[in-house]
Amino acid sequence: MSDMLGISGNAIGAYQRALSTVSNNIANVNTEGYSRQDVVLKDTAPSKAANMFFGTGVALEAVKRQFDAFAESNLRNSTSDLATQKPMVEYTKRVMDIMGDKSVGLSSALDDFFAAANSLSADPASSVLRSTFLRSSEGLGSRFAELSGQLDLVGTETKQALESTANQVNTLTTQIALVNQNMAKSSSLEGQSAEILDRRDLLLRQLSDLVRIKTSFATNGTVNVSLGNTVTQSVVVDGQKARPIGIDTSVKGKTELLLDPYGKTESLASASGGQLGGLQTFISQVLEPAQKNLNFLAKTVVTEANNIQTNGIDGYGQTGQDLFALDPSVANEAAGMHVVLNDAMRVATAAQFRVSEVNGNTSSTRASVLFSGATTPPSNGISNTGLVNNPNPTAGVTIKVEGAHVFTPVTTLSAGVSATFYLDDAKPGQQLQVLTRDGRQLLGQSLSETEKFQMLTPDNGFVANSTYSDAYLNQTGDKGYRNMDIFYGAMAKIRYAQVFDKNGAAAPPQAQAAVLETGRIPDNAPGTQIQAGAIVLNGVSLSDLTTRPDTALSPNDVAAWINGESKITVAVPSFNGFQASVGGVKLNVQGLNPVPNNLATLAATLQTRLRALDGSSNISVSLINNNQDIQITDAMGRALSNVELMANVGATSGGTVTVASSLTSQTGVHAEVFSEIRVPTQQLDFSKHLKINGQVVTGNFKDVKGLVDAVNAMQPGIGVKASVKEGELVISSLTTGAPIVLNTDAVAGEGSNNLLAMAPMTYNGQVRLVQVARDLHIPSTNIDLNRKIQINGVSINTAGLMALPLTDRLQALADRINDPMQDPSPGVKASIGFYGDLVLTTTDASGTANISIGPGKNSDGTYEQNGLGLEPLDYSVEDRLKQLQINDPTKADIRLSFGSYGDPARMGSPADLAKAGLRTGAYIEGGSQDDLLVFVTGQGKASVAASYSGAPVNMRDNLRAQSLVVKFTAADRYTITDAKTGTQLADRHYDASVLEPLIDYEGLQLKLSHNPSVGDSFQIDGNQDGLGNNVNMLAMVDLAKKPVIGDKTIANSYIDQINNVGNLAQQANITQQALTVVNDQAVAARDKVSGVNLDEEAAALIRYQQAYQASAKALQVSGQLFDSIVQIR
Amino acid sequence: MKISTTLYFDRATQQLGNVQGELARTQEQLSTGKQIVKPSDSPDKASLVTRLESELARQASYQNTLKSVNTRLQSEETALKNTSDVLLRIKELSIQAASDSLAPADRQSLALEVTSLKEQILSLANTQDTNGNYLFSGSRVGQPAFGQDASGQVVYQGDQARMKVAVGDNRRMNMNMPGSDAFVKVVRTDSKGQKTAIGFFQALDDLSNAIKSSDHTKMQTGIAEIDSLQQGTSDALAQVGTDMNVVDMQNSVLDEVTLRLKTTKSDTEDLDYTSAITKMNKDQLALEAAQSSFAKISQLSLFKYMN
Repeated sequence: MSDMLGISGNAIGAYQRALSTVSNNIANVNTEGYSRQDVVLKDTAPSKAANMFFGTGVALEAVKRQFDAFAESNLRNSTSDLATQKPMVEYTKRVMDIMGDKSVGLSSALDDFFAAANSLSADPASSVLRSTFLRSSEGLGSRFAELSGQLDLVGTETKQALESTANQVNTLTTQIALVNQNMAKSSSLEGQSAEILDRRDLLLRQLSDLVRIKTSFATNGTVNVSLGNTVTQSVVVDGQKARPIGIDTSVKGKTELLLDPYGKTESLASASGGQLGGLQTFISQVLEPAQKNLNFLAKTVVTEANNIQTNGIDGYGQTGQDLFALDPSVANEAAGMHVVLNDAMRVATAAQFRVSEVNGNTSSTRASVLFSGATTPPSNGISNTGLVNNPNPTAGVTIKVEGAHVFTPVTTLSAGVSATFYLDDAKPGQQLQVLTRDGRQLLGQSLSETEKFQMLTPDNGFVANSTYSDAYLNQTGDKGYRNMDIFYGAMAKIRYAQVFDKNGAAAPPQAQAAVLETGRIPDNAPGTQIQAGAIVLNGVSLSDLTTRPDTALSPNDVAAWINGESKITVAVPSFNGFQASVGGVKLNVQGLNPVPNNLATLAATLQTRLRALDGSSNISVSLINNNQDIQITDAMGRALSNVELMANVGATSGGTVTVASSLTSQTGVHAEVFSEIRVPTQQLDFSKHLKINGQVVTGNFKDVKGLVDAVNAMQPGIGVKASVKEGELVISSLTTGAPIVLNTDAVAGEGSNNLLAMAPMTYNGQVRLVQVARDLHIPSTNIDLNRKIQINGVSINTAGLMALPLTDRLQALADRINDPMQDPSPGVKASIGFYGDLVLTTTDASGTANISIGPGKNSDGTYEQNGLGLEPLDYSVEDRLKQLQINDPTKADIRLSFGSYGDPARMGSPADLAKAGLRTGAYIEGGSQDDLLVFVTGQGKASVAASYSGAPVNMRDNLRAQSLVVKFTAADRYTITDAKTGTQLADRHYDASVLEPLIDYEGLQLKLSHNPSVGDSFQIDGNQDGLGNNVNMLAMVDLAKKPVIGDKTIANSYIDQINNVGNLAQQANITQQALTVVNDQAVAARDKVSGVNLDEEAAALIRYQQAYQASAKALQVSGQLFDSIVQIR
Repeated sequence: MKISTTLYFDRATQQLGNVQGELARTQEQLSTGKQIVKPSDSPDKASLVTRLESELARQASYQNTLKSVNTRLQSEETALKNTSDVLLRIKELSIQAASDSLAPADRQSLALEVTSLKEQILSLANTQDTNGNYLFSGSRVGQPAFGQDASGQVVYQGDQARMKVAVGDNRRMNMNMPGSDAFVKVVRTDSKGQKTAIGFFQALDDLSNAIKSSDHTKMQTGIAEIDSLQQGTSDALAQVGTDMNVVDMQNSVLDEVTLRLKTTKSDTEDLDYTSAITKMNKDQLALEAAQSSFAKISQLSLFKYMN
C-alpha cells in the first residue's frame, strides 16, 4: 500500500537497521582489521495510478563493507617492504656495536699487541716485557675468539628469529586456509559476511609483515597465497590447503628456507621481503661476510705472526716456534685462535744470524749480516731430472764430452742429500769431478788449466768470483772438506747384519766383512792392462796388471794382482843361519851346514826346518833363476820382515835379500776367483732346454732338483757343477775362473731361448774381494800371567814367565803360544803388534775361524778371570772386524782409489778400474753441507747412474749450524773458513769499487761499512745467545704497517669491515625511514576508506535518528489522519 | 581527508614517542659528552673513530719506546762522561809520571792510581740497566761487556749488534751502542810497520806497567794513546748526544701528531654542547606542544554535544 502508514513503517524499520549499523561501527572503533560498514538505502518501486507514480517509501538495500582492494594490496606490499628493513636495522646495529666496541672489538686488541711488540723491541732482554707481549698475544687470540663468539650469538639469534618467523607464517597460512574453508560455502562475494572478509584481510596483512606475498582472489573471496615471484610459484595457501615452510637443517650453518620440509620439499630461494627476507638479507649480506672476514683475518694474523716468529731466535738461542695456532676442530677459525707459546723466553726477538768483528781487527770496519734467502732446491736434491734414483748402469744418463768442450755438467747435488754417482763405459782418461760452488774440488782428478777456465763460470753453477782449489781433493774424514765422508773409486764397506738376542730384542748390529765382487772380467787382449801405481787399494799402491804372455786377461790375473805374493828372494845365497818374521812370528833356523854349492839341499833343509817352526806347510823354499837363487814363499801371504842371514864362515855376506810381503797382508783384502751363473729358481722355464759349454743337458727333469742332478751327472765333461743356494740355481765352473758358455739352440730351433731364460753368451769369471780379519789384539796391560790362558781349548803353559824381566815377558808368552811342539796346536800365531799389544792370528786358510779364549764359563754364566783379561768367548771374524774398525779404520773397508803414475804423472781413471771389472763411483755420504756440482771430464761418451737419499736441508738452518769466518788476506781478497773444521770454503776477490760491496755465501750477505785492513776477520754464526737482539721483534712491529691483506694492513682491513657494516646499517636506516613514510601513506589510504571516525558516526547517528524520528512522526500523522476519518460519522 | 579515530590516536602516540626518544638521546649525549655514544649511533663515523683510536695507541707506544730509549741513553751518557773524566785524570797522572824529576818510588804510587782508575772505567763499561742487563754488550746482554779472557787480558765480550728501534711510523733510531764502539781500540805500529790492534784496557794496562817500570818511551806512547781513547769516548758521547736530540725531536713530533689526531677525533666524536642544548630545548618544546595539543584535540568529539 503506497500509503503513508506503510511508507513510514518501512522507513522506521530501515532506519533502525541503519542506526544499528552505525552503533556497530562505533562499537568496533578499536577493532583491528575492522572495516567500516555503511547502509545503502533505496527508494522502493513506485505505484502507478493513472499517469502518475507514487513513491512507496524506502528500503534497506544492503549493509556495505567499506573496502578498497587496491589500498589493501598497497598496504600489504608496503608493510612487507618496511618489515624487511627492521631486522637489517636492528641486527646490523648489534653487529656494529660489537665490532666497533672498544672492549669487544679487535682494534684495541691489535693496538695492544703491536704496542707490546714495540715495547719489547726497545728492550728485548726484559723478561717482564716478554711476558707482557705474550699476555697481549693471548689477549689478541681471545679477542678474536670472543668477537667470533659474539657474532655467533647474533647468528644463533637470527636463526632462531628466522625459525619462529617461519612458524608464525605457518600459523597464519593455516588460518587463511580455514577462512577459505568458511568462505567456500558461498559462491559469491556478496554471500560472505563482512566479518570473515575483514578476518581474511587482516591475516593477509599480518602475513605480509612476515614475508612478501602474492595473492590471487577467487570470485567468492577465497584467496591463494604464494611466496614466489608469481602467484603460481611456491604456493603456501592453495584454497583450503596450507603448506608449511621451514629451515633447511641438512647443512650445518646454512639458513636456507624450504617449502613443505616434511612433504614434497621445494626450495624457497625466491621468497623475499618481510621479516623473513630481512633476516635472510642480514645473514647473507652482513653476518656471514663479517664472520668470513674475521676468520680470514684470524688466519692471516696467525700465518704472518708465526712466519715472523719462526724466522727468529728466542731467548734460549733456538729457532722460534709458532706463536698462535688455530683449533682445527672449530668451524670458525677465529673462534679457535689461541697462543701456543707458554714460555715468555721462547718469544723470538732476535735475528737468525750475527756477525762479530774479531777483537784483533786493526780497522774499525763495521759489519752487518742479513740472510736474503736461498733458491729452492729440487725436492730430491738432484737438478738433472733424467738422473733417477737407480744405481743400475742401465738407468744411467749418457754424458758426452766432445768438441772444444773439455767437460759436461751432470747435475747439482743439494746440501743435505747423500748420493753416489757411478761412471760406466768411461773412455780412458774420463773422470767424474765433484766441486763446491766455490770451486773447491772434492772428488776426481785435479783440473787442468783449460778445464778450470771453462768450468768455473756462473753458468755452471759456480759463484761468480770463485777460485779453484784442490786442497781437499779425494780426502775424507779429518783431512777432508768439512770432515765429510767422501770417496772416489770402487768401494765396499763393512756390512752390518741385524741380530736378535735370546729375548727377541734387537741386539747391536753385527759387523760382517766387506765384500766387493767385480763384474765379469773382460777377456782383454794380452799385455799390460793397468799401469803400476794407477790403482791404490786401502792406501797401498798396486803393481801393474799384466796378463801372462800371449794369454787373454783372466780372473786369476786380477786376483793375483790384488793379492800379491809373500816372498823372500836371496840372491847369491851363502848362509848357514836364517831368521825372519812371518806374520809377526820370528822363525829362527841355525846350523844349516849346507853342502857347498848344493843349494837344493840347503833349500830342502830350510823348508823342512821352517815348516816345523811354523807348524804348517804353508812355507815353501825353492830355487829360481836357473837354480842360482833361493826363494821362500808363504802360501798364506803373511807379512814378511826382519830377514837376517847368518853368513858362512869366511863369506862376507849371506847373500842379497829381497823381501816382498803380499798385498793382502798390507791391505787386509784377499781376492778369490769364482765363475758362476746365478738364476732365481722361479725364473727357470722347464719347457725349454739347456746347453752349457757345448753340451746339451740330458735327462727327464721337471724341477730344479732334477736339473741339478742332471748337470752334476754330466761331470766332468760339461765343466760345471750345479747347486741351489738361497733360492737361486748356481752353475759354477769346475776349473777356477774358467768362463761358462751358454749356447744357443739347445735343441734345434729354440734359438736364444733356453731353460735359464738368460742370454746365451760366454759368462766370464769374476773376482771377489773379501776383507780379511785374522787378528785379535789384546792390550799388554790386560795380560796377567798369574792366571790361566786357554786358546782354542789348548792350555798355554805360563809357568815361570813371571820370573822374566818385564820387557821380555810378552815375547816369551808369544813364543809359548807359537811353540810348534804343542799338540794339539792352538791354531793361532802370536806376535807383538805395532802398539806393543799381543796379536793372536788365526792360521786357517780362509782366516775366518774363531779364536776361542778360555777357560770357559760356568753353567751359571760366571767365569774365572783369564790371563788375557778377555771374557771367555769365541771371538769370531765379526768381533775381530769390530776391533779392526777401531784400531785401523783405513783397513775397515775395501777402497780402490786412483793413484798417479808415469812421467809426466798421470792419474788412474775409471777406465782402468773397469778393466778389472770394477765400477767407479763418487761416494758422498752423510749429506753434504754445501751444494755440490758434478761434471764429467775427458773426451768421449760415458754413462752416469746415481743413487741418492735424504732431502735437501733448509739452507737457513744449515747456515745457522755453521760458524763462518771471513778473513781478509789482502786488501782485495778474502777467504771464508768453516770455523769448526778449519776448512777453507772460499777464496775470493773483493771488489771495493762497486757501490755496495757484498760478500754473499749461500744467501748469507755480509756488508762492511768501509774497506777493512788486511788480517781483519768477521765471524758469522747462528745467533745463539743474543738475548738483547731485537731485529726479529722489529719485523713484528712492522707487521702493523705491512699490507698483508690486499694492500691493507691487518688493522685497516678490520676497520674496513666496520666501515662496510656501518654503510649497510646506514643504508638500512635511510631505507627504513623512507619506507615508513610510504607505509604511513598506505595505512592512511586504507584508513580513509575503511576506518571508523567517531565524529562521522556521530553525524550518521544524528542523521539516521532524525530520519527515524521523522518517519515515526509521519506514522503518527497517518494515525491521526485515520482517526480523523474514523471520527467522521 | 578522513582520519579514523584509531589512526589519530596511533599517530599521536607514535609522535610523542619519537619526540621522547630524541630527547632521551640528546640527554644521553649530554651526560656522556659524546656525539657518538655507541658505534651504531653513527655507522659512517665509527670506522673513522676506530682508526683514530688505533693511530693514537700507536703514537703512545712510540712515546713509551722513546722513554725507554731515553733512559738507556742517559745511562750511557753518564757512563761515558765519567769515563771521559777518569781518562783525563789518567792523562794528568801519566804526564806527571813522565816527568824526569820523579823518583821511581813515586811512579809506583802513580801507577797504582792509574790501575785503580782503569778498574773504575771497567766498572763503568760494565754498567747494567735496571733489569741487570749490560748496556754495552751489544745483544749479548747477559754477559759483561768487558771481561778477562783466558790470558788475563780484558777484552770485549759482547757482539757488534747495532740495533734500531721504531719510534715513529717512518722513523727508526739507534737503540744501543756496542762497547767496542765506545771503548775503542788503538792501533799500534811497530818498528817494522806491522799494525796490531790493542784493546782499550790493554792500552791502559800497558801504560800503568810503563809507569811502574819507569819506561819513558812506553809512557810517551801511552800518553799518546790516551788521546785516541779519549777521542773514541768523545765520539761515542757525541753519538749519544745526537741520539738524545733525536729522542727530543721525535717526542715533539709525536706530541704534534697526537694532538692533531685528538683534535680530529674530538671533532668527530665529541658533543657540541651549544647545539645539543638548543636541540634539547627545541625537542622539549615540541614535546610539550604535542602533549598539550593532544590533550586538547582528543577532547573534541561530536558526542560531547549530543544529549
